[in-house]
Amino acid sequence: MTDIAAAALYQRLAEDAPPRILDVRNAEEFARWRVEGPHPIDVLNVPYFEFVEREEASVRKVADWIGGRTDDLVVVCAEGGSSAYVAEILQGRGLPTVNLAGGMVAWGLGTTARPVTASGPVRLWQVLRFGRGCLSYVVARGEDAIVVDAHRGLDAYRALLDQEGLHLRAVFDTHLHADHVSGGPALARGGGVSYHASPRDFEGASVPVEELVENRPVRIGRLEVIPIVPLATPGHTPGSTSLLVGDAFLLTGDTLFVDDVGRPDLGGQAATWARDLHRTLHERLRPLGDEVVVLPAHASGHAGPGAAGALAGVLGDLRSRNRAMQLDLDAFVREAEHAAGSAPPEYAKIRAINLGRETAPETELTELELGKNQCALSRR
Amino acid sequence: MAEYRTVDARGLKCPMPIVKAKKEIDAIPVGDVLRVIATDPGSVLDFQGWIKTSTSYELVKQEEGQDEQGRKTFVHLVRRKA
Repeated sequence: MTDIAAAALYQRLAEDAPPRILDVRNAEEFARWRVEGPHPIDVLNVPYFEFVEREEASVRKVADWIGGRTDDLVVVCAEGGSSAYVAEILQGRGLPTVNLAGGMVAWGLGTTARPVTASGPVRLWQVLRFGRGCLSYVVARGEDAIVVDAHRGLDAYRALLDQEGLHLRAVFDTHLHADHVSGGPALARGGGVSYHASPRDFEGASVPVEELVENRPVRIGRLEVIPIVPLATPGHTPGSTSLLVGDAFLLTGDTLFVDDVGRPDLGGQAATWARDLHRTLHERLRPLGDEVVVLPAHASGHAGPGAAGALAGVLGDLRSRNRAMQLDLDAFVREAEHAAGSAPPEYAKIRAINLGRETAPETELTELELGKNQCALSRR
Repeated sequence: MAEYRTVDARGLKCPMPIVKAKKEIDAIPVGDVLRVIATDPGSVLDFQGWIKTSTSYELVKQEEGQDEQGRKTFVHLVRRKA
């Protein structure tokens, strides 16, 4: 039996002949969150305990599903143990099988990095955490780099910085994240650099935060290392701040996605925040040209983007095609009020952790982050 | 209630708590109850799912506790009906 790493599986799922997935978790966990790729996947759920209880019938079920096909079969479970158990059984019955190493825990932390622009004075990479649809960024000029909206799998950023010969100079969060634990404070601490975020979101935080001031270019030390201008773009959170990089790229956080916008109802004030967000989208962003490239913090569709290109859109396209951007104020507020009240219960705890007010062991972080993000307004 | 036999599955990850429980339950007399102590929180739903796959077992009770090392435990009581 062979193993496949999460990132390799994600790559395979983007190809023309993607492998099939046998998910051996219980039906509840399977329903909540599963392996997804850029294209629809052929997937079967047969819990491992069915193999324990009636091996013969379970193997037959899988064999019937496979039929005469010869494409690869990848077995998936929560942490990789039960899938290895099932893979061994299937392999013993002559069904070639591959095991997802580390299971859904590894899938949820797996990343793939793609260059958005690798030439020119400013270089930019998009890091996709594919299992959760979270996007983060490494922005570099010369050998200096910053990281924006880092998730807690810090190795992904350290590896990219190493590979590109970059030095970390500062770390940013566009807002107080509620759907995932931020890696920002830990990445900044580890690199001995500053952590920047909006004081409005981080009031009373126990993590050291350098303020982002609207329209004041960020200076790291004495040098303006990378031309970054913070723009206040409230709505998803009161302190949501988009970062304009070199007048060409707008890192929007959860304010604006390619085909949706961030939920304004997560703070329990849906109508007020929705008005803020509408004003952000139509007034605060108005001075920006149609050619500005929007780089969001989430892949807003259900499936992630293709494995090849970065997930991005130009502002002009979003202005004409992003459905939420077409809504007038009243319709926008109505939609936000309609979505209100269905925030996952884990979000309060995640916010407290991101403010440094609470801590949790690794296993609990994994549990808190289970499932897909639910940050987009209409795609739920 | 008939005498328990206990399976200690603390520190074990899936599939081991159920693999061990399955082995033991088929070795106890019909009517007896097997007590499985696990530390894997995933075992709660998995035991519920496993019991549903067979008419020979019944899930009498599931309870959370703490062991002497301070670990959170999940105790599953399974009766062999046939």
